[in-house]
Amino acid sequence: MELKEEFFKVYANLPIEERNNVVVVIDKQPISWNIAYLEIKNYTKLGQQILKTLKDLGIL
Amino acid sequence: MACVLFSRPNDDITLSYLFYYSKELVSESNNLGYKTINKEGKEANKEIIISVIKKQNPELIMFNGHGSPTEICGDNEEVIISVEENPEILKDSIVYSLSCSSAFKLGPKSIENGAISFIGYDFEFALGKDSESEASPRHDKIAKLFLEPSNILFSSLLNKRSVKDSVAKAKKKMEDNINYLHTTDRFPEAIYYAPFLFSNYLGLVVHGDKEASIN
Amino acid sequence: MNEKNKELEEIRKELVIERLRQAPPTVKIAFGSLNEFMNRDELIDQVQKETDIGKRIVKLQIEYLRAFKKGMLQGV
Repeated sequence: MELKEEFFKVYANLPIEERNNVVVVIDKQPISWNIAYLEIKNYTKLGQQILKTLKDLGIL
Repeated sequence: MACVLFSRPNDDITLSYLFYYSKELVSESNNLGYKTINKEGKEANKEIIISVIKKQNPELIMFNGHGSPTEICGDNEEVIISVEENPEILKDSIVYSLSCSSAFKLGPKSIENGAISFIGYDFEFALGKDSESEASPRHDKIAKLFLEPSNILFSSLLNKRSVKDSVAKAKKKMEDNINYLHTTDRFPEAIYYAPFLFSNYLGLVVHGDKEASIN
Repeated sequence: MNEKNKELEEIRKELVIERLRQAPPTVKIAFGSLNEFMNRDELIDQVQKETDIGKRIVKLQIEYLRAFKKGMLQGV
């Protein structure tokens, strides 16, 4: 499964309140699950960074 | 009838919560007709607890207290049982240790030395608190989510369920409580407690005979 | 490999601090051998100072996040 798909699968199963929480910090910027979703969905460079970091952390 | 021993120190605020919640377990043990020995406060010390264990050979023991991977403590953080000194003292008992991390090393060591089962936590036990309850365990709706599963576990043992079933019941309650923290809108900070309760869930382990139960 | 591990440790620590920062200051947890309830800022302090408690807090937060991938924590 592609990382993107893995992310969407995990995201879909998150409690709603958890989605507002920080899931990754990129360049000192805290990013919530919701923002990560938008970045990944829109194929942004930040989205790619997010996916890589989540993979490195074992969250994906 | 089986003998049940409780070690319930009460010398700091964290232990006062464990002390309060375990009170109903002492009553239940009495009501079920067990020979119930409750050593609380300053009596939950090494000399008294070891003496009771040696003389009464309790089939079931509950330890509240601070701890470490190798120790269970009593009043004033005095070490009562440790890997180095006296793991054999738990021989022939089913033990539930509500003490941080004591299942990690003391658990297996006590089984090697003849304990029937050792139920405890591999990691530090986390306890959430409602900031509005002003150190009143009775009114603390958050602490309840953390301690209720522990009571369910021991109550199940008192009612002669197996170690395996009792731990499963406790874990199920933890799951329910984590789901509650994930979804309730009754207090906005609920979601932030969930990781800590999940840590307790992961940390709750059994060593020894999982099918054991008291007679 | 060691550099990479150190970098990941720092990333994990930073993540957990940011997660804790989102909590209301009134969140209180008793954890480990400390016989008192810590508020949000005290928890963050433990993580920042990389105490044993702080390291354990980082570990449990990351385990919690990984649990969603494993399907251990299904939302409603």
